[in-house]
Amino acid sequence: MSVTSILIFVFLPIAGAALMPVIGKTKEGLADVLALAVAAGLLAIGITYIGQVRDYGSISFQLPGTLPFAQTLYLDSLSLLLLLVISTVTLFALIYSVEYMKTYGSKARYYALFLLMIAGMNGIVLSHDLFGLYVFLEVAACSSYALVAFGLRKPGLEAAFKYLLLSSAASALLLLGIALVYSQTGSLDMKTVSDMLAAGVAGGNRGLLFISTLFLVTFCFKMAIVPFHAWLPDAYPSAPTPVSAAMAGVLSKAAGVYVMARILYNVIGIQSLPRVGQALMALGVLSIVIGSILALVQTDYKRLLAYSSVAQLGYIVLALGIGTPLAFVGALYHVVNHATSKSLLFLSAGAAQRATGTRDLNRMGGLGKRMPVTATCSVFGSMAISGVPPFNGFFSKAIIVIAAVSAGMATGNPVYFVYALIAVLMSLLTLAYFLKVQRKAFFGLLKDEFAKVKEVGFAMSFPMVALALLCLGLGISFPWLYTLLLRPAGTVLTSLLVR
Amino acid sequence: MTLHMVLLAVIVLGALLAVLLTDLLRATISLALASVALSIIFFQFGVPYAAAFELSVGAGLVMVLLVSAIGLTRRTPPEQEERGKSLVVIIPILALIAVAVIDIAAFVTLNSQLRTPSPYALTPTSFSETLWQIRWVDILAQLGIVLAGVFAVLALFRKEGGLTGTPRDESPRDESPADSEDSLES
Repeated sequence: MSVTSILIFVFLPIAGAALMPVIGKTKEGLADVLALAVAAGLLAIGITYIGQVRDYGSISFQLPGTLPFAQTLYLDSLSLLLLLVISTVTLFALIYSVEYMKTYGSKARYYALFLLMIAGMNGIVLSHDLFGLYVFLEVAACSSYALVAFGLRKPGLEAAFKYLLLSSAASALLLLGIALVYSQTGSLDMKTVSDMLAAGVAGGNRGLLFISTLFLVTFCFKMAIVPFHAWLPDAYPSAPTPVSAAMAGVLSKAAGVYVMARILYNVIGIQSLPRVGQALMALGVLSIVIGSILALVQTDYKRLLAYSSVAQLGYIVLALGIGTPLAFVGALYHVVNHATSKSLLFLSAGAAQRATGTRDLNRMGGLGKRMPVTATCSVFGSMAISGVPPFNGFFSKAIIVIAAVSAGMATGNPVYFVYALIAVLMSLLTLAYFLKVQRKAFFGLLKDEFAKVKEVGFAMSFPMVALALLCLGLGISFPWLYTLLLRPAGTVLTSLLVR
Repeated sequence: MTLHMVLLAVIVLGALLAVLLTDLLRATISLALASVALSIIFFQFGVPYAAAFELSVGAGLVMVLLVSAIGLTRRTPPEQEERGKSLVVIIPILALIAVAVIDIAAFVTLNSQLRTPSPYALTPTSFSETLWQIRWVDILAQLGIVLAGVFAVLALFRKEGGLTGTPRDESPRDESPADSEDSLES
């Protein structure tokens, strides 16, 4: 396979989106086939690259021209891990959409926007050029604004508007950061920028600290880390369920976690700026605590899941702030685990809502008797995200806690032990609010009004079952996953960019 | 310097009015005004291609597209406009203040470095070579943004299943906050 074919991760979904209006008009159902074929194709191609990246370390594609300005796409272990997660979650979200989106109308336009969001996310994780990264971030963001508002209900339109405004402010800060980096280094290429910043081009630590802060704030906005989370509790519940699943599962990872890790550790090299690491840890812990407490008091099913995302992304940011090789593995493993379990939980919430017509947990009850598949999948997702063994969330949270304790023992700083303790306690709180979900929605007495509720169809139940099995499988297969994907991906973050 | 400050003030004012004005046509004109001021700044900075693009696309093509889109809309009753007004006003102003504070902080923090030209000057390349050879992935991504914009307009102004048309499923539903979400479901 030619190295230039890594462009296909961007080109294929854009081409699919461009074709969608024509295909959508020819025959009903053809738009479904095209969208699923593109998503499945991307996953299949991603899997074929596992061996190549393992053998060669990385695959790059550089456009002609002098390096500091020429654009580079680059596939290394870290990018590949994210590509696989994006492809998997979006494929299942699209399969779910086949049935779920029937009631919305304009399916071809929905798929076109969804494919563009995938193209944007793939571009983000492949781009080794700062401006290219910004443009791909905007591709993903612009598509997601429209997808949040796709239902055309007032809450959705308001949430999309709020999301657009706050996300645009964050993008403006990112652009300012990129402009400052360019003004100091004369380059947009990540490797060149990294070399020059290491040589002290940007006015030493003071300049680097300022630029790092700009990037940090931007990505905290994109991830909805407390206190930059105002847009998320409205956007996730208001979006159509497959969109919520994709946004919570992968958009926040590609546009937030990945870019933050790549820029802060590979380009700027915050290993020399301990205050940035400390800020990351503090923000992570704040998100874990606030997100968990706010999730606990919610009675709106999807809003609870949205606040839970704030908390779980806090674990990832905490691990990134710790910044040891073990913590990187924990962060990336939690990226994979949160993507699968949170997507599963959103899809099962959507199924329960489709059947009952409500998201209010106080109005649900006993649905497990009428919807056994959805209920079982929801239990799997809840246990995975709460960190119950042998599900995947247990291992990633355990690694993050062990990394914090190890860092505390190595540095003698008691703050690490406090953070580890908070992470453990909040994990118990996670279990508490997901037990509440199970008790209120799926267990207990079946309410009369839901006596005729039926299980959702195959197109909606299949992705839930597949993701539930993934939650279990990713936990059981941790040693294999660690060797194949997580350790190589974590190693990428331990030093400045090497090509 | 004075001209730059005036132009910057016009950009900020135009952008603010574009968000705050409830009359969409006036908001569009304000946005175009901001684009014109920005293109003059680009000319002053010696980047004529960026200036020409900003003027033709930002103030020209986008203006035409927005005016065409406004032609497709219906005016919302005033009482409905009032309900969403606080959100529409507060968030942009807060966002603008935050970005302005950070911009000023950037200028203060990196002032001495920003005045020093980078020692890593670029090899000069022609505009067409830059656009079509060494940066064409950007063009591909920008095609993605344009498509997203087009599909967003088509999706949000659709008749079937939307607020402006007849939903497929017209079964009654209550309007508690937890029910008034994403879809037109049963």
